[in-house]
Amino acid sequence: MSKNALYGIIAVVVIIIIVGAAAAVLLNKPEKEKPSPPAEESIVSGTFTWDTIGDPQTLDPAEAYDTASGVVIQNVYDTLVTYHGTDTKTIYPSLATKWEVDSTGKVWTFHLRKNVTFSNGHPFNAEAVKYSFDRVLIMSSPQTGVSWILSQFMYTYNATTGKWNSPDGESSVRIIDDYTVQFKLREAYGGFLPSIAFTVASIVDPKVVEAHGGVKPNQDNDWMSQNMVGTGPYKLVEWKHNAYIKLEYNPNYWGGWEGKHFKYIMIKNIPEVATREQELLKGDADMAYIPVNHLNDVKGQEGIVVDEGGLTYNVDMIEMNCRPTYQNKTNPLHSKLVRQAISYAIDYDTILENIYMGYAIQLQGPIPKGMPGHDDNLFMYHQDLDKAKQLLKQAGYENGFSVTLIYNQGNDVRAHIAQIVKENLAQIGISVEIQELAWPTLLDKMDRGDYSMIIVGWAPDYNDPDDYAFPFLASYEIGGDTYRTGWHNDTVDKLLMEAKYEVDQDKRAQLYKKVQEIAMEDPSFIYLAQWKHVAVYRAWLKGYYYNPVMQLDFYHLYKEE
Amino acid sequence: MLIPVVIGVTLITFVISNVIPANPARAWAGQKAPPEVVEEIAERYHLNDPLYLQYYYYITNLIKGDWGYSHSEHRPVIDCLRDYFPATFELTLWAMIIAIPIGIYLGVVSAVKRNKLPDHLSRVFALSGVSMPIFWLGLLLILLFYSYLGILPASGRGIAPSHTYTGLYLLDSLLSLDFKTFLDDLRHLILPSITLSYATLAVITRMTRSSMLEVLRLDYIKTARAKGLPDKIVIYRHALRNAMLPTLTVSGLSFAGLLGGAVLTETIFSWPGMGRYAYHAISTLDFPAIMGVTFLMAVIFVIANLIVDILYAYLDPRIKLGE
Repeated sequence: MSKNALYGIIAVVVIIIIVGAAAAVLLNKPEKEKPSPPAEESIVSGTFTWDTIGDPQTLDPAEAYDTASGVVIQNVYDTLVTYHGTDTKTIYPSLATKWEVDSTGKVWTFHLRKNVTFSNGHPFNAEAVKYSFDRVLIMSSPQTGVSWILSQFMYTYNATTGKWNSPDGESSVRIIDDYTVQFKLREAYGGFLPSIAFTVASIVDPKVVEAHGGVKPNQDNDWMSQNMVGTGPYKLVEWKHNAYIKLEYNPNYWGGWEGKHFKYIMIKNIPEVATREQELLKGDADMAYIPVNHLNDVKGQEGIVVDEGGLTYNVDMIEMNCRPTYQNKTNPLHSKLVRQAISYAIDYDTILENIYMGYAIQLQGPIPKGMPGHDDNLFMYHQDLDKAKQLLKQAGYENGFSVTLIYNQGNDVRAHIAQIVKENLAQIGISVEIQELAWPTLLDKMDRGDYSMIIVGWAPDYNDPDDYAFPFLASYEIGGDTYRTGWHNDTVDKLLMEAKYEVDQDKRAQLYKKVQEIAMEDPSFIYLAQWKHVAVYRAWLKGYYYNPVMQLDFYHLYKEE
Repeated sequence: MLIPVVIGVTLITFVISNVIPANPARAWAGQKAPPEVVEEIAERYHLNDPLYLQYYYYITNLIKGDWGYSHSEHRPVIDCLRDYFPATFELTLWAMIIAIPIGIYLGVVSAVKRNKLPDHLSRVFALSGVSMPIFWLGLLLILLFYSYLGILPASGRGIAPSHTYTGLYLLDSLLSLDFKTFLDDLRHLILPSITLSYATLAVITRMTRSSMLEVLRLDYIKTARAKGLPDKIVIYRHALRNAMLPTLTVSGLSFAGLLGGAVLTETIFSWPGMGRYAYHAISTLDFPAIMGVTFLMAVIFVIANLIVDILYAYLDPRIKLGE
């Protein structure tokens, strides 16, 4: 290439850039907000910017099973029933206005809200309800298996015969008329209403799904995992993976737009906490996810609110391997006395104060505080080294033994817990070898029962004790024991099954009370901590509230300087 | 060249990923998934088959253009790469556009003014570039240009252009004649590309300096000076051209290396690129994604080497291609 040609090209590129920049400056006038109030007193304006972590795995409610997906789905789709504000005790109407249940607890009739449309203008009716529930069970998402939440009490679909596994071969959901549906459940389920308030029971538009791949047995819908059409307050504008999700208000929303609301929602995925902090402090983010060990960076700063309202249902525990043998040797943890001794050896107060920085309370048994079925008077372990030593002696292990304690790589909180537990157990003669493992390796060891102790956590699916007590304490044989502790108690199995299918909530509470007492007397877990909730946002953000079983609600947020 | 390298790389990656003692199906399905779901995933993706069969399935699918399904993102690997590769490519491209000219210039100045003030300054600058953690540099730049001065944004790629032609935001916004977006995207590129370029810039400076010092001692330079040629011509036309070969090699390999290794920069600046994708894939045992990224990187390394070889021939007439 001759030199002149090269200079020519450079000159052209430079001119393009200069002209481009000049044009950009000239054209770069602030865009005028289009006035868009659908009702007279409504002010729908501005953008709510939320700096958080994690990208949704999917936007399809029939597939989604992670928090990042849940928050978008909850704001774009609606369910039949829901929770309001901070109240976890009452179930409120949403797309259903009222409902009745028969004496068996198996037949539920829902009366649907009229004049509701999807964001594309299509009508919402009984057909959409039946279609949405049937879809979850036919799809039976092979990626996440989230349909189990519905299939615990609804009839499942047989892909080979194309029929439902019900007496008449029909699905659980029956259309009575355009605005009435009936659920004929396989089993009366105590947690029925809370579980259909979860995102998996969101109502989708049948026409949209049929136009994009329809419903195929045991197969996820690729289109639905990237696109959304719901009846909720917001609609999806754009999803740039690992970068941001932009939502815009849905003018057709049945709840109306009176009062103040945000027009746009910007959920930004920012993995680095320092970057999130800077954007929040600068005011470019209205709200940011700040982990508790960084709260001091933002506390007391002008214009920042650190909102410590309420308890979450997020819990941390240490599971113990209760099998008689471990790695072909006698497993000391098989002994109830040893597990009691370990529970007495842990310094809960130090862990809560120094590691959780006071942002957690001691977990009182398998059902967290605030959830139905929780027992405020349940026995809790406190550190008592003499008692622990005495129990070990009684179990025949006064000379101690050694165990491994596993936690997942990159989890700082658990790394620190492991250190304290190691010191605590050394005081009663048990030597602990700490192992930090990658998450998949940890799960593999858990599945094979190849561990002594693992630090684990749990987050709620829906607001019911069955979502906690059953996976923790029911035996593997009846579909419980998610953590593979190998703990097995026939009485507890019986009580848990009874509680699952009991619809009288007072009776259920009594059953769970007994379960919790047994679980504390013969502990398969060290019940460590229940996290408090902390939200960090700009003082101009109003309308924020926290409900442990719901995701962040954008509809009620607004800005007021 | 391409075929054996690619087969070798995919085979090694495949074997290494599969010796990890863990059940990928369990990792993909999540902690709460019932055992039936885990088993079904294992069955669907041939995870119960022997390794050589799994590799056979992978390679035959790859040839057919099917890169597999990314379990961490619940969509095909090729869709993920289509999103993330251009982001990283654009960032790396700008990092190299910053690093190469400045690195070479500093290297030359350093060599010519050996042991004088400019040399000392540029050596300190280069040394700090090699030794400063990228992470720290990124945070400092954010503090200065975003928090205090408030002139540049701290996160993301900016507004997405209305049309996607190449996935490179700057190019796409120019092609769609959307100068507002262009400007916004350019502002978003500045801090991350400076951060990413610094280490490479430092390496190029040091490399250019040492090879320039060697060349400047040679007889033909003395001859050139004796002829009375001006300094500029001696340095830039006679000396630099010969001193460029090692610099070129380093630049080519750095370019390919940065494409895969920009994970820290991408994390600090929330840049939705391939490094973060790969990191997430590794931590969730998303084998198809790991394989896809590795395969793409192997191809890029081969291409980068090829380009370097061609440029060698241009710079050094003694090297002839195809002989």
